Amino acid sequence: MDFFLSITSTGLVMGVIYALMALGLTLIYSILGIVNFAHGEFYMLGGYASYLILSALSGLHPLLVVPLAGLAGAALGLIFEILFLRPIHQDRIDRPDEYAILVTFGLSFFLINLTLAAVGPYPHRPDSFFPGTVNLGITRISGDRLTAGALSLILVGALLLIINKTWIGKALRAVSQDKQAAAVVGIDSLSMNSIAFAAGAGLAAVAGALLAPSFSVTPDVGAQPSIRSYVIIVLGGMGSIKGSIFGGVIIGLVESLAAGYFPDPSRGLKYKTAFGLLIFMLVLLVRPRGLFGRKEE
Amino acid sequence: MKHKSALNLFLIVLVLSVLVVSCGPAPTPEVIRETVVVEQTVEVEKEVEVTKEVKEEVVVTATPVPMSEMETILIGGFGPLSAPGSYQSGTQMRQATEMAVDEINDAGGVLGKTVELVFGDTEGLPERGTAVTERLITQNNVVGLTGEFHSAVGLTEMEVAHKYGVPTVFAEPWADEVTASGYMEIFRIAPSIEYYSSIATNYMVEVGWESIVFVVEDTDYGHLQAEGWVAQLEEAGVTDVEVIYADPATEDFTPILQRIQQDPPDMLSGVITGIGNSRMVRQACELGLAPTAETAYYASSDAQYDEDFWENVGDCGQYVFFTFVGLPETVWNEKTEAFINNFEERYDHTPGAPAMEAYDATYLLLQAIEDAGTTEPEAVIEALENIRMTGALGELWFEYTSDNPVPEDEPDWKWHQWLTPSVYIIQYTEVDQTLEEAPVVFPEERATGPLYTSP
Amino acid sequence: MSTKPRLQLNLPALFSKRILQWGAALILLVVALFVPTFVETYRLHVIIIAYFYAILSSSWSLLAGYAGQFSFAHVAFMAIGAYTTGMLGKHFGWPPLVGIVFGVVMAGAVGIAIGALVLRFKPAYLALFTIAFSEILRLLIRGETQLTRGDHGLHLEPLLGADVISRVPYYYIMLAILVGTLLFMHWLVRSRIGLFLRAVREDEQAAAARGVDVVRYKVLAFAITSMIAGLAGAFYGHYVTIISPNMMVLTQMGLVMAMAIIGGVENLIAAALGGILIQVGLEELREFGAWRLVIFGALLMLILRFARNGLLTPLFRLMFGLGPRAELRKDTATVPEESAPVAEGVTADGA
Repeated sequence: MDFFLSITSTGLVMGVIYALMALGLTLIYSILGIVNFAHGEFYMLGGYASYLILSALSGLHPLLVVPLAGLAGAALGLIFEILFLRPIHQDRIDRPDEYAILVTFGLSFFLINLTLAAVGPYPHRPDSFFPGTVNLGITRISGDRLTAGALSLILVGALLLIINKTWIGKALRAVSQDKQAAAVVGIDSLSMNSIAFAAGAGLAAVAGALLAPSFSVTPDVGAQPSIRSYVIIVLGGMGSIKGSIFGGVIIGLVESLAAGYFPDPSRGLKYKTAFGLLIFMLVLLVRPRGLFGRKEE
Repeated sequence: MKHKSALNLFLIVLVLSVLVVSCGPAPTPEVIRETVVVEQTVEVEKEVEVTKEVKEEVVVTATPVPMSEMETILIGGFGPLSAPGSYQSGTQMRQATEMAVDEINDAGGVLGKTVELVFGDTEGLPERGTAVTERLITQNNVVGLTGEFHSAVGLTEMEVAHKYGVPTVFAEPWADEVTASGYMEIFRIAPSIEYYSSIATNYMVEVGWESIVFVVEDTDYGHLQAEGWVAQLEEAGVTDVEVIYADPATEDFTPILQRIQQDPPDMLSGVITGIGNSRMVRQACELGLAPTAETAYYASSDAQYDEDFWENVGDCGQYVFFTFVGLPETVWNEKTEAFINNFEERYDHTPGAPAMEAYDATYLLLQAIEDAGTTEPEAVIEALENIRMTGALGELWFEYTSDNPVPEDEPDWKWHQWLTPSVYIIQYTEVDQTLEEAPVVFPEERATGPLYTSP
Repeated sequence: MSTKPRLQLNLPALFSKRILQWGAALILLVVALFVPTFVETYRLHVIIIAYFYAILSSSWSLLAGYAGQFSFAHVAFMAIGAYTTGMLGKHFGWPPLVGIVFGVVMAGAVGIAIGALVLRFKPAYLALFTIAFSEILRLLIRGETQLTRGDHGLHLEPLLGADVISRVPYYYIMLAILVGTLLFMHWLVRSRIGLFLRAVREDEQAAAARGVDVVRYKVLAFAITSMIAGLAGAFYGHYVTIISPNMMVLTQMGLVMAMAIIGGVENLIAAALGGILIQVGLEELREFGAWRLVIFGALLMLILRFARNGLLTPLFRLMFGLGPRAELRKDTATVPEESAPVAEGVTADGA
């Protein structure tokens, strides 16, 4: 039983962090209607941003760097959105769906190689938020991971609050439901798009910054989180915030349980991602709208 | 209509691109040449076109540029400089090779000429190994090859080198077949897997661990390594050995470590190169699994890159041990010290074993050319067979050669192999300990500290 | 955007243009046939690989550009072709030619299955699904080392046997495959099948209303293009004689897509050319190391944004004065919701 609890706790903590990143992707999909294929790279950049900022300003407490990294991701996202994605919504692009896929894929390719060329191949790690480990009885968890999980939980909560209670949240929801109607009420959908993309990218960057002390960073560190995020949003229901949260936690648990319980430990570990992908394919085939496919927020 | 004209345009541009492409250095005609050519050194530029192929050894060579006309001596280096190859190691190897070439040029070059290096990125892909090697030989007309990190890539490269008869000193590929091939052109200074593994397993047996779990990267290297250990441990009577294979890009090993923690072994090992090494160490330590008094931790040899290691692992690195190929400080010669200092100064990073190997491999190749007095392949190969040189890794020579073939009862991989690479077990006993400070714990003859320090 | 034909169909002018075009084509083909005589073996290898990529990029452009299915599984089909023949050779000793045939068949079979599965998917879902499929396959090939040798690399017999060390025959075979598949696809797009494919792509509902069997043509597109990819992969395997799961990483797919896009995804020939030029270009720019890929990525994004029909299609138009443009143009008769962000109620299950 202890083992089950320890595996589960690991899965839950990771799940919340996954959910945070998936939320960013969902936000982008919900408002802009596109899947951001460079999501993993914003995660990667968040990690690098926190590492680089801390290297330059070593006096700073590592926790303070997280919002900075998030802002950096958001800024980059904003620039990209305005330059490359805005034309979609100004009806200046033919076949917008395919364009969006390809151009974000291109961004991903570009960012990975840019980081590789500019910073180099060696793995790096920003300083710990809180060094040491915490004994939870059933298992031990590092201070970093606990911090990351806790902050993710807080951020997810804050996000829910913003979406539901604030004007901006309402405006975003309005745009995602009906652009024209929103325009009638005076909400500029183009600005909302930019905000949403920037926010989505920022969330991915925050997730990256939160996990960098635990996992270290390399230029291609965003590949797995990227794929995982797709799995989560499809499982949860594209565009559903609640879905992303549940989906994130589920996937976190699935990965842990697979590695922990699959009869052949090698395969359990090797195919950890593949299990998620399998679920993903099944969801797409059997219940494409996922768990919470109809948006309620 | 659109398509027809498009078809034409396609063909036009095809031709244009082909013309552009072939507008490079003058194409080198292929020459069929019998391997046994007597008047080598003199009539080097004569192309003898043989219309019938010699059955046994047909050597297809690019037309060598006659020595007297060469202003530089061109050598080729290869290794992974980008994903999916281990570009961390490959980059170091390239840097070390460049440094060696610069040093040699500063000392007057080889045969009075400047040495020039062309380094090809093989990306860790066997197909690229073939392409890069062929390009180096036929495009750049290199007279020798050195380097490579990945075994699978080395195996394809050596075929090309053998086909063209270009002397090659491999720095890092460990696969036994590299030298077991028996090719005249191929030499290696890295240890073979069998030898490398045996040091580690002898250590484990010596300390007395009885239950062992290896978490190994799911690659050619990982499989060869794990299989080697399992076999050697079994021979020594240690049978409670489990091997778990993992994707080296895995971020979170925690669930599998928790699983292992249910029945903690005496020794846990994470044999994952690159970033995975640090992740395993951290996560095992965070869980309170290893290194602890109950469970020792054997890290992959990436731990030797101590700056990266400590940065990524933090305090968790204390008590971790690993296999190191190279020389511990106690046995350093002047060359080792000079190499390490110069490398650190020039590249702001501590060199690891692959860098040292690449450095020595380059020196061997160029020294052989100097000894031979010519860049002619057969002469260089002969010089390599007879060479005896002090490198950063120690005294270098090749025991089994054409004058002294491998005996029946010895394994084939000993051909053209440096037989005394220094393989040691090193343990970090303090946090932030550097490679030089950390004690060598095995083999006994070289030990500078206790056999095993437990937390 | 108007679709008025720019070229006035003046019969005599047409006739001479046609002669010109076919004449030029013939000359080029002849030149291509003589390439091995003035290109040495390393560059010849580069060109052979370039042709390989051209086969992939042009067949992908058929699937994506003409049939509108932006699948990320193309290199997976290529790998299926390669690994089928590789494993048949390794485990059963089957000769390369037989293996290649089976490789094509296998790739086609899986292609049909995937095509059938993704029938109703909108572009983003199609992309994600095919990415997932490709990744799972790669992980499997990499993981089941007993069958595939995983990362060690799987050795294949050279197609022409161990005695033929020259690259030249392989060059001609790859060229033949490239020209053959291009001609086949060219014929296909000009046939009724091509017409239906374009109809389905432009407006699925309208096409269905007019009696076009949407299902059949979408699956057919997958079947044909996956077989071509499988053929390319299988022959490639027996040429380079060693394959590894790295041949199908998503970056490779990205490369193939980029080639087609930069060349011109709505034009087979442009896509093929994109493949050749980019592969040769990347090879020549090796000295720039990692930065060359950065430039490449930036180029891709810029072309997508500012020259979305690729660089070559406009060039073609300029040089040969073409007729009705069939490139990426705004859907004229589509329901407006196509270009608006999808409201949450309308999810993946269909238009």
